[in-house]
Amino acid sequence: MLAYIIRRLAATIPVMLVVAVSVFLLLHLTPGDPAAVLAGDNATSDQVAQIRANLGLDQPLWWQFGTWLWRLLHGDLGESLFWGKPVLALVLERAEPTLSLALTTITVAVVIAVSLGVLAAWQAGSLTDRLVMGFAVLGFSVPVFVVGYVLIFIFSINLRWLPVQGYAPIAEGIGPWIERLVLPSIALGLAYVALIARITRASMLEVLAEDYVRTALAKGVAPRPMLMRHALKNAAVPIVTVVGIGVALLIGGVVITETVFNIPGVGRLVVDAIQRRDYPIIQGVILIFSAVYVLVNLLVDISYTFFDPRIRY
Amino acid sequence: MADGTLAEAAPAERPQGAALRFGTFARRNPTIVIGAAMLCVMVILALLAPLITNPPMHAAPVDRLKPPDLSNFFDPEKRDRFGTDNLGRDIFARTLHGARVSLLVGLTVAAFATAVGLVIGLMAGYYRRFDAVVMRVMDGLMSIPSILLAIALIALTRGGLFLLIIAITVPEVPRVVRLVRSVVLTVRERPFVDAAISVGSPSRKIIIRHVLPMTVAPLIVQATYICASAILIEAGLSFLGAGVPPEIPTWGNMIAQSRLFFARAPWLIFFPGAALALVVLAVNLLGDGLRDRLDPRLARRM
Repeated sequence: MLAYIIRRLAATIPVMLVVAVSVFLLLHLTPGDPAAVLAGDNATSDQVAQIRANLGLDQPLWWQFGTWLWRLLHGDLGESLFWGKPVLALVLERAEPTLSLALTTITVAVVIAVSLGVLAAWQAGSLTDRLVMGFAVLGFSVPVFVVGYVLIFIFSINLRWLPVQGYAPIAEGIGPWIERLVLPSIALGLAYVALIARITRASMLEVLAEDYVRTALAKGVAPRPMLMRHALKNAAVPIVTVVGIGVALLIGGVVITETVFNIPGVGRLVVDAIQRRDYPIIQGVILIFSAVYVLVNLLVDISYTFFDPRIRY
Repeated sequence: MADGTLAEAAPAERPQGAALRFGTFARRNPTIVIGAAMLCVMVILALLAPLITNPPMHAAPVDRLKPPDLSNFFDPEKRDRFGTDNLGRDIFARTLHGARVSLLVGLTVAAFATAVGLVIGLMAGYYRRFDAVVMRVMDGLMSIPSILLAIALIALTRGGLFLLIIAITVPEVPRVVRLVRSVVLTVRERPFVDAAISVGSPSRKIIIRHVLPMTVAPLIVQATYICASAILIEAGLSFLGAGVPPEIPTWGNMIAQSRLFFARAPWLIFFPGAALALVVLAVNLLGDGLRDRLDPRLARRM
């Protein structure tokens, strides 16, 4: 098991290296002079030169890549052109809202999606099943920001149940923290719920057709423990896989959700960086989010052994 | 099932044959027909938009924030069918024009990603020497969040439609590569490929004649999902201000521009939002229907 974890960890190194090289090449292969574009239309030649030096664009390419990678490995993601502060520090300052939003969304979404999927599979072909599957197609189709504004319009502006926008740090109390996370989590989680519910239903349908399920029912196991203990555990591998892959959906969604709900997180940091053409921030956040995605999927891989002891490494 | 086969076998000699056959097809594949019909209407409206609507950028400060008024819908002078925005621009005209960018991006990204992914996937699956390297590169590209990759490209350049399409295409390619590769890996173990090798067919011919056709059905299905995801990403990027220039109306930038006014004027967000959801829904329905029809194995798994 330990050997397997180490091997899988080692396998993430080439993947992260590809990410790093792609992000590096992005800056260097784009047509035109990136320093001039980043400096903006009204920049003096001094400012352009300064940006070029900040990004190391005046050095030979291999040297640039070497030093850049070396600093990266030491946790140095470069300096923001606008704030003049290290990118890593800026990201860490804004990590709490983003993590709160992402973690609450994942937790709630997985619970809801798996329940819906199990229910739909158990009553396959029924009205419940059709409603769940219909909801799943809709959930895929409505974009995060449209859901967000509809929710704000209904629950904040018309009913006045929840605050319109913003974020309250968890240190200021659980109540306001949750109050401000409800709507963003729903908006962000909708597509994720749809994705997981679909896979859960499909995976459960396959397991429910197995002989041991029929045997369990025949010997008198009640439906609930049968579904939860016998079927769901055996259906779990595709479900956790899609929970991991779906994190990509959440990462893109977080950037948009934070803009809709005015949450001062990492997503907003990137969006603000677009207008300011603050490339080091965009680059740093890409690297961090990609690493998160790779790590989550590594954990998913390792969790397979827990759900299915037949998988031995 | 039984009446379906009867209807399929008999109708040729009857005068209403084609209609009947279509009826059977529609009854068996309702999602394909509904999705395709919705999509066709959208494409036609998008193509005709410059002919049948007012200029989308024309601002008329006198008519600011007029609510939707559906009376006299077909009066060509009418500017407030879907209401007007904070600059007095015609939301109906802007929503129809917005369809042009969305559909163009969706369709080209689907075509590009499928074409590039198909070539790389065939190579990786058939020539095993490439496989390890290619798949590691694909794993890496797949873990870069699409929206952020596009944001980086747009920030580094002055933007534009073509770059936007490239930026959305790149992260979709690995999905196609994986799909094609998995098909190739199963097909190349089949006896007919061994037979082709043993009679001395060159690899190029085997790939094109025997392997390629097997990838078509899953690729069509995958292309529809890529189209849906590209439309959503384009809308998201326009919303964030990282899409096409703001002079071109898109559903994303229409919603972004009305953010401050939507409490007073919800129609500013309702119409482009509904149009966006309907188009993506149509593409998804078409994809689900095609999947059930073309790839029953996948249908069971999903």
